Amino acid sequence: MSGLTLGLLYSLGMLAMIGLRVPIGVAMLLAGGAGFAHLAGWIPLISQLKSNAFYLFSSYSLGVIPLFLLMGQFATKSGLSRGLFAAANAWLGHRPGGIAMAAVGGCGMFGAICGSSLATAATMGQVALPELKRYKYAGSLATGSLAAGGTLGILIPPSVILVIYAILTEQNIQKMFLAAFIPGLIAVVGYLVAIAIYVRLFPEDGPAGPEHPLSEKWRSLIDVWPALLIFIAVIGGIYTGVFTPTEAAAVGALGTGLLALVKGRMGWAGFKQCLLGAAEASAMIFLILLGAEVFNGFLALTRMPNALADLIGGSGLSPMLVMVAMLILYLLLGCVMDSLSMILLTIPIFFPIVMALDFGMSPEETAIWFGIIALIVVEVGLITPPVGMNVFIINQMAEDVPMLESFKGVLPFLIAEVIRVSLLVAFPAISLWLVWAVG
Amino acid sequence: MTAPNTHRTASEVLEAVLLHVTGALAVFGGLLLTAGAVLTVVSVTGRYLFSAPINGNVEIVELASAAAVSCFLPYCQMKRGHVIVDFFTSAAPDRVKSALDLVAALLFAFCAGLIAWRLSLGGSDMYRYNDQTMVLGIPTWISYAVMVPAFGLLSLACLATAWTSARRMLRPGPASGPSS
Repeated sequence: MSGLTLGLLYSLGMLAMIGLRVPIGVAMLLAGGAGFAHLAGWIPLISQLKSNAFYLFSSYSLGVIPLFLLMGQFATKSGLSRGLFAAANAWLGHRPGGIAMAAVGGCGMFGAICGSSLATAATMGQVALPELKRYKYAGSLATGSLAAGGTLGILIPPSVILVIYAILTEQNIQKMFLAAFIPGLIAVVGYLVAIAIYVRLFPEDGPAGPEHPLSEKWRSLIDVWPALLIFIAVIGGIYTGVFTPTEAAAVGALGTGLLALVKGRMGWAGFKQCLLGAAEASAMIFLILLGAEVFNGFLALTRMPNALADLIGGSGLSPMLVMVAMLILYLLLGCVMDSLSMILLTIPIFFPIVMALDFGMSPEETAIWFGIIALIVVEVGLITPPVGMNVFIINQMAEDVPMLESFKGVLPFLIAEVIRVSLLVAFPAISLWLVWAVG
Repeated sequence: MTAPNTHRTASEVLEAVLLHVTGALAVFGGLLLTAGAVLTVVSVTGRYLFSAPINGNVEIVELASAAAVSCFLPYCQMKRGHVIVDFFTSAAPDRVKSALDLVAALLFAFCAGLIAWRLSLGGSDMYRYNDQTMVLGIPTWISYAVMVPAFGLLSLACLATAWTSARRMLRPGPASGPSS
């Protein structure tokens, strides 16, 4: 059998296992291991297993992941979300739809110190949902804006999945973070505009809140500075090269930890809770990473990724067409799978294909640009049915809002996302400008 | 979770005990991680303020990470935290789902046990060849010494969850909610 057929066969086997409730990491481990043994024999496989978990888990660059997760846990514990939402509310709340805008703004700011979409949505939901209810916001708009706002956590650095993409494709994490910055800002602006248009069409869904006096507006900013400080230290440190990403994550984790401690919101029990939360999330990610490591070892043996890349690269298809096809595939996959697993499953195959196509950019630029767009599209899966995790979480918190309403509420934000992705695909410079400017 | 004194089945007791043990191991791993973070921050501060970084800080963090991440895995399994796709089976009856979960947990137990066994050999290789880190000369088998029992415990945790699934499959009690 040719490598291509074998690769396809074992990939199908893996997908079948995934469909039948085998944990994704385990399915990759089993299919990858079996395929590897098929091609290279059992002895090489078994001798690799002596150390590959050690080398993977001890990788210094992957150390960023548990640290960022710990930072997110501490940030959630610190109660910063309340101050961030209050500040956004003081400045935006008096507009029509303003409290929903404040929720999105709060999510954006919280996303700047927390790299997880779910955590961002859940934390901000706790604070903002009662306010939205108090001002009689429609359930659809309230839950929709929070679910969508949560996805900001992923693109605004620090982002765990961005780190994983960078490591997987051997890109510079610093440059990836730079490239993510403007698309992240565009997302915030896009969401705010989506709310503004929505409440113009349905004014009763999002009434204006009270006007806050200017003095209160300025005072509200006091609660923002700790988050701002941590963001500047962590991300500024990475951007300017003062810290390696791992160092920055350590600084951020310690900073948010101290903040939670100083604010008197974290005793030993709370600290333990944070450790356990970070532990569970890290374990989830590292099991998939371990599976992906083994499976990718097998894929490399089959030479399937290269063969596919040559096939598609030489087929004369327009590069943009291939790109769009991949993005649509991501959207479909996003209906059944979480974003991290999607990235780990597809990047080893998609990335060589993208790199074999000519988009008129240098390889590094293509890699960064594709990464940013792929991550956005993958993240859209968090707010689309049937398994929009962000929507589920917020909907559960809101209690009295039917699920259908919540998915309806997400619609304006999905439109904003489609426009944003189209812009980013059509104009790579949006993502790359900051990389050029700094580099 | 369960009310006291209503006689708990053996599998429930095992689950409760293992949740405790794996939780303690995860906290231990978390403390290792935190220690690594503190060390890193001290080193960075030293580098910039006193131009005196901690030599070999990276090595310590690497060895600690390897141990820490392994310590997290069993706890995640007891919390059913590993990612599965339940889209295609969401309409299936609970019995079928439990049967699939049973098979999945057994497969996982096999993988974890295999890795534990292989790592124990890898670790003893490292011990015998006296493998050390470059700067500080810390023996690398130390991490293996944590990883091997952690993967062993992971395998045990998988067997425990497999047992629970088997019980659910054979005696489907009053609707026990989705298990995700």
